[in-house]
Amino acid sequence: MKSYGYVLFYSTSAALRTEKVAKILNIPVKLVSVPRQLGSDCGVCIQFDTAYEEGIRELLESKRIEYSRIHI
Amino acid sequence: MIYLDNSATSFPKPETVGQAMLNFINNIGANPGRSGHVLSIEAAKVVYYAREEIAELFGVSDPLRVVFSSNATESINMAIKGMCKPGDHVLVSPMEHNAVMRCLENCRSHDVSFSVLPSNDEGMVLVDKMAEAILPNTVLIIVNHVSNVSGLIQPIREIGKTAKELNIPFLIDAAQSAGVFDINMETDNIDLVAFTGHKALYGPQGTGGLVIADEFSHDRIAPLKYGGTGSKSECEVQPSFLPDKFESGTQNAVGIAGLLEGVKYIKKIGLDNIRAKEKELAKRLYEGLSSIPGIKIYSKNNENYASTIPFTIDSITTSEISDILNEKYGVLCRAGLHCSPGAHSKIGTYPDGTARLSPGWFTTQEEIDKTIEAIKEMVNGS
Repeated sequence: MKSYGYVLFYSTSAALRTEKVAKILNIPVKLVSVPRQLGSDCGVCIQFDTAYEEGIRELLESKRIEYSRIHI
Repeated sequence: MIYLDNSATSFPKPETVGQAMLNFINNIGANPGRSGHVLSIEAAKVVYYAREEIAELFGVSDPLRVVFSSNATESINMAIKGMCKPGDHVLVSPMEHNAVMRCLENCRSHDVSFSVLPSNDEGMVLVDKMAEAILPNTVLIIVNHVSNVSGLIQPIREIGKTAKELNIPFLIDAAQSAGVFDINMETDNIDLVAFTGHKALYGPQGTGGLVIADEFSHDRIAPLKYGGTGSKSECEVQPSFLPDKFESGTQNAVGIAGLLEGVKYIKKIGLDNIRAKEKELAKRLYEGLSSIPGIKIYSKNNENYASTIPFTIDSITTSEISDILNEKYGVLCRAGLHCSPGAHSKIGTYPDGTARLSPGWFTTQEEIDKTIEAIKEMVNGS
């Protein structure tokens, strides 16, 4: 069974940028509403398969994308 | 009707511009980046896609470095007011619009000074003399890429290279040039681009922005406005990240939806093709007007000029020229000082100003020919 992680952002712009870059890099992600238990501000977050955690972290780092936190 | 006032606002627009705005207002409508529901995300996507297109247009890799504003004027104010502190000095070209000059005049009261870069008789910055104009407290160089008065094109690549060597941030006012001339912030060493959406990007009025180069720290710019951004709502301090730091208040998403289509349209045609067509129209207009006795043209028919053609007629005032062209011939142009008294002084047309004809992508050769005939008839009848 797949397990999912979430990247939470301060702004929707950053979430959209992450979604776009991930697609270019062939990292499967989904833009979803922030799960209630995680709470957040901008309302949306990036859901990813935890198998891609390293790729997601590298993406955020290399593109200097501002994010709030990663929840695994 | 023949519309030759594209330097003020381009008209008509590509059909897709109005269609996208109508679609946004009727079918999307929500607040971008403020909520997590489907329409808010759709709205945010439209704004984000516009950032992507514009970032690519100016050679910037991170779309979040495109900060939206209402026009080039607001963007210029953002840069000047955000960067200049008491005691600082700014260098400008002699061809600046009041968007720059009035902002700098206002900054005098905050102990910010400015002076004009060395230039030739036409107002072109003399790059090899730039270093002599730099003061120890110079914090910014501002250059109007293409003059709204004469159409003069400044050598931004050379100016950018020198500004970088001198380690002074470089801002261009791209109000007249974005959408016609290639601007690459990385290779041209431009730190900040102020653009407007309603001219050669073929978007609606009320759109524009400030683009911050990938390597330029936005910590050097304080926000002009403070307020809600939809992000970090728990915090009463302005966010420090882009673009939210500079985008307080709900964005003009319906306008940006139109701008997105305008930018896509010009990219589809290609900037080189747009420039080539406008150059051809300007050449035709220039040659046609040159043959009319008593007419004086203040631009030149060469590579250093865009398609804006300012002229005067010995026997008719500029406001009369514009009125007669409008009423008798249906030719729409703009007379006067074009919000740029300094630039008019530089080319010797202050305080009377000029009549300005500015073709755009949608102007036809037939319209140019009819305009030349109208002006000939007007001069003969005066």
